[in-house]
Amino acid sequence: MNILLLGLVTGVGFGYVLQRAGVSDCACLFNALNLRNTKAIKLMATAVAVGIFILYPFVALGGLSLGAKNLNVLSLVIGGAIFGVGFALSGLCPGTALAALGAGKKDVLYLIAGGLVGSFVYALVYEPLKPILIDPLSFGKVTLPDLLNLPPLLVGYVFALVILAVVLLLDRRDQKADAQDPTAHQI
Amino acid sequence: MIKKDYWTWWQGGIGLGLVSVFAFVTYKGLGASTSYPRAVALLLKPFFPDFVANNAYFQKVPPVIDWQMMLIFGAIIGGFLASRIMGISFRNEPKPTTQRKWQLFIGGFLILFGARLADGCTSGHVITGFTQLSVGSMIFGAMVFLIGIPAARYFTRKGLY
Repeated sequence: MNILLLGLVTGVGFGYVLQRAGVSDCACLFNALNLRNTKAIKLMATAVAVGIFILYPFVALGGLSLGAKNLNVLSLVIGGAIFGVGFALSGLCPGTALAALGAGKKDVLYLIAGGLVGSFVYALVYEPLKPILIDPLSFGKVTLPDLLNLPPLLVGYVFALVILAVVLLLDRRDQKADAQDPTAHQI
Repeated sequence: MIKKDYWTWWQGGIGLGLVSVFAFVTYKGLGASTSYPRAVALLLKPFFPDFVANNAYFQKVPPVIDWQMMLIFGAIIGGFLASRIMGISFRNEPKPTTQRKWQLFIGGFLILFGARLADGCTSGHVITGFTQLSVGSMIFGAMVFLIGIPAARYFTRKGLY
């Protein structure tokens, strides 16, 4: 199938799930970051575990390569921190904003406008920032199996089981909080 | 009136996991934030072609409609379909306050600036990068929550929500 059409189909599924599960509602993210109801965190962690369980046998058989992200320590630490503040301020991220827009939440347009301005400013400062924040302490595409020098299937499955254990602990915590105050469980 | 309840965390998690698998198998892992600067490049190109052609970042992220840009359009359609099936509407929602508008604008600015610096967002790093077992994505994910959790606490105390 045509690559662009595949992108569209993938996007429909992506936006559908985000809206159908309610993580495109700001309140869901606020509850998660306030550790009041961690639905958004549990959902993301489950998605990662499902992906690992399905994909890594094919990776082990050599039929699939997943690629990896660059390990540029400074830009990841600073970018992640800036992202975290924006995330806490707005309760949305670049993906959930689009699902929310599709659902008819018009105030998301302010976030998208801010995002476009932020991207433009980044494009302006990219060249001077590159030698300071991106190039130093950059180690290329490093994965956990590379670092540990162990098979990806083993590392992946152990990693997925560990995050699922964390998810179950968070869920128990949520249920306890819910028994005391059910208002945060509406989404 | 809501016809259907939201999916639970595990229903949504399995759903998102399957979408992520579909993306990896058919092309590449999910991502969203690169499309914002790409949209900026597409918007600026007709007016300032030389600026876009000479900007180092827009050379890296050129103004073309690619797979991820189509994913963005798809996500809007998907959000619409889900809201229709669930029977939810935001038509009667009160207009956002000036403070809320600024909060969203500044939040959007920070999210995209941070995501571009880190080369990924919640989808590109937290979903795709963690599935790839990328060490960099784990650093990003840790920072988002390490800073996001106290920030949310601070904003709650300040009465911003």
